Amino acid sequence: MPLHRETLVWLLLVLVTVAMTYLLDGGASGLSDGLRNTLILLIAFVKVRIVAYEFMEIRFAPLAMRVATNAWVVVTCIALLLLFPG
Amino acid sequence: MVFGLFFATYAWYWQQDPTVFAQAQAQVNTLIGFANTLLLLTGSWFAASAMRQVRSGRADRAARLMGLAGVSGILFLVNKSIEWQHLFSLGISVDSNDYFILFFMLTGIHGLHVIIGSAVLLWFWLRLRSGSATAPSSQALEGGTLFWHLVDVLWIVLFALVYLVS
Repeated sequence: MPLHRETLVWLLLVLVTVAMTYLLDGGASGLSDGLRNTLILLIAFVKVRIVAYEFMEIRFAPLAMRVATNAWVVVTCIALLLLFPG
Repeated sequence: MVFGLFFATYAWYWQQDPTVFAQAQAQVNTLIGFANTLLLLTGSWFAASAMRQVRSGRADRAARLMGLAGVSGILFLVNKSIEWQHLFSLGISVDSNDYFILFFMLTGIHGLHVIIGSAVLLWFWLRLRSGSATAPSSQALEGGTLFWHLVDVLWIVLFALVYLVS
């Protein structure tokens, strides 16, 4: 039985969350704190965009809504990356 | 937008005293935040699947999925209350330090949104299962599930910020 699109999206989000938490929590990865924080934030905002485009169906929304969503994701992510020094 | 400012506020305070934030963060259980992330992602999956069933005219299946999405929210709140109780039992309170002021404020405000979202989803479940005559309008269903996904989005960032970034 083929999996529905939302099920594939959910599986992807769960896998990314498991991998991110396992590999990046507690500094056990051997990465510097700055790089670890940067990766955590970038992955989080990629997940946010996936939820917005897939579950919230922003991909079907008018252009202005798509631009506003992407702008929020990019601006908030950059602001946090700047505030947490890499 | 408002939550964007909250996130920036957290980051700004973290910058002022990263050592205190790191020590305080070591006292919160990442596993609980991780489990709650999986619960909200799963709730969003149920809600998105429910909307597909609504559009296919299968109210009974949509009702079940809306109910499961609402239960995901309830489990999130149970998990969150266990976490808070554990922290209180360690002598930690809202005013212990800047990290915990922001921790309780941000997760508390988010938790209020989870309460509202879960109540809406469970209301959808009740109305959908009692037949098409009482089913909410498709606009109401769209609005309610959108709100739920927004709650999920905010938690994804909160989990990264409050539990993982250090």
